[in-house]
Amino acid sequence: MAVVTAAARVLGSSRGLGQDGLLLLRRLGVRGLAISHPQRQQQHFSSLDDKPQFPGASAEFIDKLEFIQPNVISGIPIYRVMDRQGQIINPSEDPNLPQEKVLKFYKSMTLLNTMDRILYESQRQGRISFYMTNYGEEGTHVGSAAALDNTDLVFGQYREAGVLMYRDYPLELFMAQCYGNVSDLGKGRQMPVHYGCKERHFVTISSPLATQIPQGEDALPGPAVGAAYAAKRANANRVVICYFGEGAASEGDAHAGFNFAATLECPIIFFCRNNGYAISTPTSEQYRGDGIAARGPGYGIMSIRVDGNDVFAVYNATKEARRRAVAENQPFLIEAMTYRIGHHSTSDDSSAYRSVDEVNYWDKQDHPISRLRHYLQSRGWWDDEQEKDWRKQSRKKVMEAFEQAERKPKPNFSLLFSDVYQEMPAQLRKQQESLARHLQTYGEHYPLDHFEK
Amino acid sequence: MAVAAAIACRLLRLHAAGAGGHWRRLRGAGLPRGFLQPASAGEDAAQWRRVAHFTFQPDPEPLEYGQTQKMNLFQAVTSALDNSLAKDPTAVIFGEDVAFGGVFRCTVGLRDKYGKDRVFNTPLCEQGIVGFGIGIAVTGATAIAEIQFADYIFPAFDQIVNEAAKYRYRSGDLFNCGSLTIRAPWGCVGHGAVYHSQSPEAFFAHCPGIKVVVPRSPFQAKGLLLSCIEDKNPCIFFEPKILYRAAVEQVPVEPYNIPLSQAEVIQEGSDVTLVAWGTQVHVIREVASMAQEKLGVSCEVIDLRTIIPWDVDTVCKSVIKTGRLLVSHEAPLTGGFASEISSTVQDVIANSSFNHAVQG
Repeated sequence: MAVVTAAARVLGSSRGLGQDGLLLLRRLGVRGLAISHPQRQQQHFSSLDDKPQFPGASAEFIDKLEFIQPNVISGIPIYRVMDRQGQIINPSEDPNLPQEKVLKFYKSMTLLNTMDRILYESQRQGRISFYMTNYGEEGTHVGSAAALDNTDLVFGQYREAGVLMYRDYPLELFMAQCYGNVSDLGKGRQMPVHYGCKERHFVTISSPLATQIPQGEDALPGPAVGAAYAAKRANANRVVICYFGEGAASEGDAHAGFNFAATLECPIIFFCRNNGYAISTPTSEQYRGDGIAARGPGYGIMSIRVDGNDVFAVYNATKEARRRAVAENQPFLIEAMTYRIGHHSTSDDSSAYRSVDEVNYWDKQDHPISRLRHYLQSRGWWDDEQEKDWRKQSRKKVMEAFEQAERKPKPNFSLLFSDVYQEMPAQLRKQQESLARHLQTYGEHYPLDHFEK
Repeated sequence: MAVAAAIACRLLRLHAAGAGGHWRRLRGAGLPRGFLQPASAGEDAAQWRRVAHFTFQPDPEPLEYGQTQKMNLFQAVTSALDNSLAKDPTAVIFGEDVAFGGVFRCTVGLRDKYGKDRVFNTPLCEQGIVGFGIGIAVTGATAIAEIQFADYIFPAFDQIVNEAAKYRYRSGDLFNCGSLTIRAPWGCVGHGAVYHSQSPEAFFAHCPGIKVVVPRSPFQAKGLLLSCIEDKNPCIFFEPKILYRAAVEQVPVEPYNIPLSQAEVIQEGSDVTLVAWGTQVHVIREVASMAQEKLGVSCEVIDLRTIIPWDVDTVCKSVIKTGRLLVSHEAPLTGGFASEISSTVQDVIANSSFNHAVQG
């Protein structure tokens, strides 16, 4: 009844309810539109009550005109466990992980670093077409990967190889993808670093083509959110993690992903690697608010900012986020502050837009690998002798995998046409046959020897 | 008589339009009153806005799929969705306004029947809807996404073309989103104007990895939609909105499949091949009978049904027989799908090896 009264007042008594009024009533329903939203349990409307009745917000009235000032001077604080010298600051935050596990952190990060150096060089020598290093961000990969279950689904952007490394993806397969050789699980179809592994629940990387890389590539949170929703429905006890950089967070898909995750109550961790640059674009040109963490509350998402170069801080935050995301079916946003020590890719020379001093600072004074090494050494779990041995060993492992990968042929050219659809349609088969005939006649103009027969 | 019928049509459409938000906005304030006034004699008939000039031609009742029921196109869609959710526990339906039944009533009753975790609204964001759908499909569950009008599918274009279509290929078949189906109302409706009438199939035809399907009738719609949902590739299913109510025929209650990538010769002829899809099939059927009556021309009428991958063989076989091809579609002419059909047919017919196959 109150609804009718309210509607009549809104529309004016002279016209009665009229056509529009009937529609308004139909929209509101007998018990009020608000009832459909689980969090809104307003039972009835009454104009005698001076509290706001709007379905769109739960808030009090204010009679003073005041704009909310965005706070970027003292933004969301950065959670950390170790200082820059690898010493624990607050012992109660030390995850007290066993030696074996922390050594695995260290070895994953350093093996990745070694592989990065060798593959970057190999691109410079023309052996592979392209490469992206992970320098400086190894802590974000390993700390987060270690906090997940092995079956949690990972959607990466392209600078998360450490997650795969932590999950024991073999060097042979990293190399195979970069070389696009016959052992590549992706069948040689994508540029280097576009890894994927079904067994290790790491969804194949995607990105636009190298010839026109837009600022802030499309990491796509949408699919990750959908996967999380499906995992929730299946009672899978799994979380989905979606990695992206601060540049990708500007994409419309990021906004869509956050909003869907919150409204549809999905068990997902949004992990933003804020490394200071999107190719050449510094954060001051990427956003004006308080980074990415500050956006979370706008969507109703639990959010935190962490020191991405502190592997224990990343670990703790991810672990807690995972526990709660699964238990409470809600998304979490972790913004890991870090620094991209390397160039964007082999197609980039970052000295064009930043100083060598700036890069050196991060390399020498605040590196996730050094900080963890200091921690290990202070625990007596690592020393210079072991460091020397491990460096030699990891380099040898990488070089062996590298040399083997280089010797293998590329996949057969007929694989250009398969997997477009699950079954090959007639038109594609005709194109495939046409290419085969072309190569029979003109094969001498093509490097067929490099491809598997 | 014709005027009264025209008014009646409009009245029916207005009544139908009552439920959905978009339709209320289209109508505008005050318009209903104008339509309720009786028209004067014949000469004003020309001044009335004409609805699309075609007559829906139902197919004979199908006998091989069990009991049938009279359904219009949106009811046939609901039936297909109902069948899908019943037999596939992973299947979910989502999009803008699907929870209360949808602006075209395609999802009426499904939320009550299957639960709010299976039939739910999403925020107003097409790129999110499709991206989300891809994610569901990547885990192996069946995702049925609704885009409210095909005119609004463009924000999702990147997700469809760069992600959904390429998921299987780029991962070397490690991952795929084959269990994704996107449905959208399509095509002209008379008063839809720029943004409620588009037929964007040509944009998607250029994208290997997806399938695009357009039904001409309720019976075709249910069978084709079920095939799309069960197909192991991401599919876009365009539903001619003008047929939602206007097309009524007997449709089997149980699920059945109509194969994709198979065109249907719905009328045999010898002088010219006419190809169309969706609503336009009914227009060219009418054209075929006019041509027979007035020109003595025998037309072979083909409903293409699947836009990609399309049934090149059926069309070419027909053109080899008749020697002439006419393709008709609503979408803009330049770069429209008719250009793909005509150039392929000319290419194939000029290629002697095909001729051998057909004649043999």
